[in-house]
This record gives sequence, C-alpha cells and structure tokens, in this order.
Amino acid sequence: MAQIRIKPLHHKLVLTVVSIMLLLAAVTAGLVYYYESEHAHLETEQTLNQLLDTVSLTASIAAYSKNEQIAQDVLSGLLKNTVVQRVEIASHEGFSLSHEKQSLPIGTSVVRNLISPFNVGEVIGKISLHASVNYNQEKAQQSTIFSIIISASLIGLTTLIILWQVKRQVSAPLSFVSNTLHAIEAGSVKRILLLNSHKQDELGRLGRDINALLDTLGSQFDAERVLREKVETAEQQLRHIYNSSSAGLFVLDEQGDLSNYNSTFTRILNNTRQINENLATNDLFKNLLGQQDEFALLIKQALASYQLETHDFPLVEAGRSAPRWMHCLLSKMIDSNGVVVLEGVIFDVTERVQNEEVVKREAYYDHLTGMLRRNPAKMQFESYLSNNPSANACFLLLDLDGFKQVNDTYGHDAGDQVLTIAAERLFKCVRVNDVVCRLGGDEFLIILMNDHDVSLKSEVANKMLESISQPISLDDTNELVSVGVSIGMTDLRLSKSTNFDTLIKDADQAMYQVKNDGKNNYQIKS
Amino acid sequence: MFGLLAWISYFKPMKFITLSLLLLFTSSLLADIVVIGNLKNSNPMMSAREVQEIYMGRKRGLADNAIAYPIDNSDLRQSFYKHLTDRPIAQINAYWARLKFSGNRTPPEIVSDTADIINKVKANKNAIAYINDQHVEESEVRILFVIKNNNGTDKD
Repeated sequence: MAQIRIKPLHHKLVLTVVSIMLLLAAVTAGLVYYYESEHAHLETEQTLNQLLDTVSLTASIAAYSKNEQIAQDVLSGLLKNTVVQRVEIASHEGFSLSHEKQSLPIGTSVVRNLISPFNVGEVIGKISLHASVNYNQEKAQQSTIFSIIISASLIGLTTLIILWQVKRQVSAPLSFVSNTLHAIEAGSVKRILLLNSHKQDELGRLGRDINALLDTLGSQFDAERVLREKVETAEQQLRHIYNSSSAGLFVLDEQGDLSNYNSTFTRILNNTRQINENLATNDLFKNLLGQQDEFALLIKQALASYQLETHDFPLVEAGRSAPRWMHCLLSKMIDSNGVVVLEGVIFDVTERVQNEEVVKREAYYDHLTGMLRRNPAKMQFESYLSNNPSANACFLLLDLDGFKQVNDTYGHDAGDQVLTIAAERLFKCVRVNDVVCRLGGDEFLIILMNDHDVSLKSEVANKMLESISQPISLDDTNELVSVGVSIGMTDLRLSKSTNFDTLIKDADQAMYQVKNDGKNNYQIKS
Repeated sequence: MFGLLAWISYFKPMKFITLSLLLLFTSSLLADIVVIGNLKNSNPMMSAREVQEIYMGRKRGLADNAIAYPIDNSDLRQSFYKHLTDRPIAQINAYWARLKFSGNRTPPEIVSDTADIINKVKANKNAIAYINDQHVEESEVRILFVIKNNNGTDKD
C-alpha cells in the first residue's frame, strides 16, 4: 500500500468549520455595522430631540424676550453634551446665535420651531442641534465591536464544543478503525476491535462489515494460493515438456519475427550463439532456413488458413557442404491476449531427405553414366512439349560400335569404363538443356531441344562421331581401345509425330540403316 | 349692566354703604381692566399683543421710541396676566426669575395702591399701568387698552 501522509479528519473539519464561522462572523459584523449605523442615526436624533425638549421652554423664553444671555446659556449648556456638535438658535425679531465645538462634518440634525410661551401656536424662533458624523460612526463601531466580540466568543465556544464532541464521538473511533485496518495485512487473522460505545451505531456496523470482508478476503486468499500453486506446478510441467521436447518449438508473431523458442529449437539449429545475439532482428532465423521467399509464403499461408502448413527447408550453414533439412510446421493461433501468433515446430529431417534424394537419383539417373533413364527422359520431353507446343526437337539414337568386343576382351569393368568415358564425351557435345539418356546397354538417346537449325543435328552428330572415336585408355592395363558410334536421327517434323516411342522407333530405323551401311556414321530418317 | 351698577356705586358711596359694598364687590367682580398711560403718551390705542409684549419685556419701545415703564397692579395682577397670557402668575414669576438671572431685564414694578399707580402714571411720561376702569379719570390718564369682562379682583 502506498504510504500516504494521513491528515486527520477532524483537522479538516476544524478548518472548514472555523472558516465558515469566521465568514459568518464577518457577515454578521457587516450587518451589525450597517444596522448600527442606521440605528445610531435614529438614536442620536432621539437624543437631540430629548435635549431640545429639555431646553425648549427656556429657549422659547430667550427667543420671546430676545434675551441673548439666556440663549447663550442654553447654547453652552447644550454644547456640554457629547452628542452635540453644533447649536443654532434664532429669534425671528432678534438675535441669531450659533455655537460649535469643532469643524466636523454634520451627521444628524434636528430643527425645531420655538413657540411663544404666551401665545399658543405663534412661531417666534428656531433652534437646531447638530451631531457630528463621527459620533454616529463611533457609536456604530463600538456596537459592532461589542457584537463581534459577543458573537465571536459564542461561535468560537460552540465550535470548540462541537469539534471536541465530533473528535471524541466520530473522528477518534474512526481513526482507530482506520489505523487498525491500515495495520492489518491482507490475509492475516487480525481483526478490528469493536468498541463497546459504538456497537449500536454506524461505526460499529462499519467494524463488523470490515471484519466480515476480511474473513471473506482471507478465505479467498487461501483458495487463490492453492490455485496458484496448482497453476505453477502445471506451468512448470508444461515448461519442462516444452523445453525437453524432441521437437524444436517456436512462436512467431504476425510479422514472422521469432518471439519464443525452446532449447531443442536452438539445439536443432545448432547455432545458439547467433540466435541469442539476433533475437530482435531474427532475420537470421529466416536466413538459417535458406529459402526466405518460401518461408515468407509459408507464413502467409499459415496466417490465411487455420490448417497446419508444412514445408521442408535446407539449413544453409557455413563449413558444411550438404545442407541439413528442416521439416517445418506452422499454424496460426490466437493467444490468451487475443494476439495472433504462429506456433511452429521443426524437425531435423536431413537423413530422410538425403535418403529420398538417393532414391530419387537412382530412379531418375543411370547409376553408371549419370544419364537420365528412359522414363524420366520421356517425362522431361513431354513436359517440354507441353510447355512449348510449337517447338521442334531432334532425336539422336546412338549405339556404340565395337563395344561388345571390348566387353568380351577386357571384361565388364573395362566395358563400364568405356561407357562412362563415352557418356562424359557425349555430355560435352550437347547443350545443358538437351536430354542425354541411356536407354540400356550401349544404346543412348540424345534429344536436342528446339532444334530449328537443320545443320545443328548434323554438326552435333559429327562432333559425337569425332569425340567417341578417340582412343580410350583403360585404367587397369593402360591399354588403348577404340569404339565407334552409329547414329540414327529424326525430328518431330520428319516423323510427323510427337510420340516419344514413335520418334525413338524412327530414329532406331535410321540407326540400323547406318549399322547396315558400315557403321560409325549417322543417318537422318528418310 | 355691571358697568352701570359700578358707575352708580362710584357716585353714591357714602349714602349707600351696604349697597356700595355690595356694588363694590360686584363691580370689582364685574369690572373691566383698563390699561392706562400718561396723557403725554402719544401712542395710539394698543392691541392686546402690544400690552403683552411690553409687560413680558419683549417690546420695550413705545411709539416715540421711548422705553416703556410698565407697572404691575398687585390687586389685578393675576387676572391681568391670566387674560394677557393665559398663564398662572407662578409661571409669570418663574419667567421673570429667568430673565432677572440673565441680568439685564427687570420685571414691572409692582404697586398695590391704585392711587399710587395713577400718580406714577401721571408723573412718568412713559409709564403704563392697569387699573379697574371705575378708577379711571380720563382727565388724568389716557386709556390705551380695555380688557372687557374682567372676572374679579385677584384679592377675592
């Protein structure tokens, strides 16, 4: 749990309440000041009126008798009052007097007519009393200060009592619960101590609820721990299987980059160091597999389908002549996070591929001469024709002259040697694309593909006659032997057929004609 | 009618003592008060207000700018002031007490004998006084103002 510095609730409460109280006190003070200002004015007015009541008779007498002395006495008597700032008294037919304490702005004024003491209703003069503004303000200020002191002490005292009670009844027990809960670690057997004084209220219920939650949490923790242990065991087992598997297992992301693999995978690739160094780029993996385009295609296929896609790849390695072959299976998976990944397996199938190669070689090629056998030659011809329907092709059927004699005289080994050397010489007389086939014994078939030039086949035939007729030195005895060759030729146009067997038969006829005419020559089908 | 009786009793005092006493009584009850001045007083007839102002010290000057000298008649004082100011004599005294305290005013001189009053009026050109109309001798004093329907003398 993060360590947050705890600010106790009641501090916040104190702050809030005190702020609100201060605000209230300020507002109250403002209102009181406003009210007192108004009230002070009225009060002053009342005081001034009362003063006038007191002196009105004397003032009237002074005005009636036009007696300034009495008027002066009235004025100076009035001025002795603190309220009075300025006094004016005037008799209509006599004097007009005014006294003033200081030159201060006038706040409240009261003016009253002086009535004749002897003739009811007759106005004989005027008296006016003035109080200074300051007097009103001072009075208002005093009242305000007094009320502020009273209200502030009341508010403050009430606040203190409320806060004390809140702290005692709510905040402190809450802090107790909070601190206890804070100290309890998840899954522990500790529980919150329920306070007797709060059993019946919300705090008691909070405590009971928290304890119930802790109980539930504890049992869930236990259950989860058991489950986690199980999962861990299973994971370990799976990892063990994954790592000890005899297959190289790996995972690619959608871009075909290597994201995970087991130890067998590196062992099979036999290149742990490089893989570890290049995990991020991981083109290495594809480079290792040699055929990048085909690997990309395999990834594309695997992403497109939900089927298992397989392909064999040669593993190109420096310092090794023959490639090792990897059988690779890829399938698209969506992992637990919903991300598309490719799961792959590789097996080292070098031995099987090599065996297959041998079988294929033996099936396709004559073991002794390395020439195609008859059937593969036929397939190659037919596939050539199907790809190039308008093309011409020339069939040369060859039969060695004097081979039987060599065979009989020097044995089969010598015969085989002659056949091998003759084959080498024939390979040199044709182009790479031409078919060179051993039909059996000392009979060969050469198919010149796309032979437009009429002179070519004669040229090739002459080259062959020349080449074969060179003496051959036998390995064992160093004796020189010579053989010849009879060549019968035809082509598609001459035989008017595309049938492989028909063409051979036509060439065979021409070859027999050569044999009959003295051998070691060539003839074109007539 | 009372004025007529008073007039009769004034001319036959010795012959009808009882009657005259009665008449005196009734006449003083019913007589008018007359404000009189010196014959040389050139003032025209006065108004009640003028009389009041002079007696209360408000107005001092007469028509010829002379300072009036009012004289109080102790017998008639109460009814005179009652009539002029509608105030009891105590208040009038209090009024004068205030003015006296200020130092520069004096109340009218109080004289108790009517003959004395008349003599004083005769002697002082600026004197003003009031008496029962029965004592008025128009050759001696000038009548300045008449207060009708006097209810009686102060002494009764």
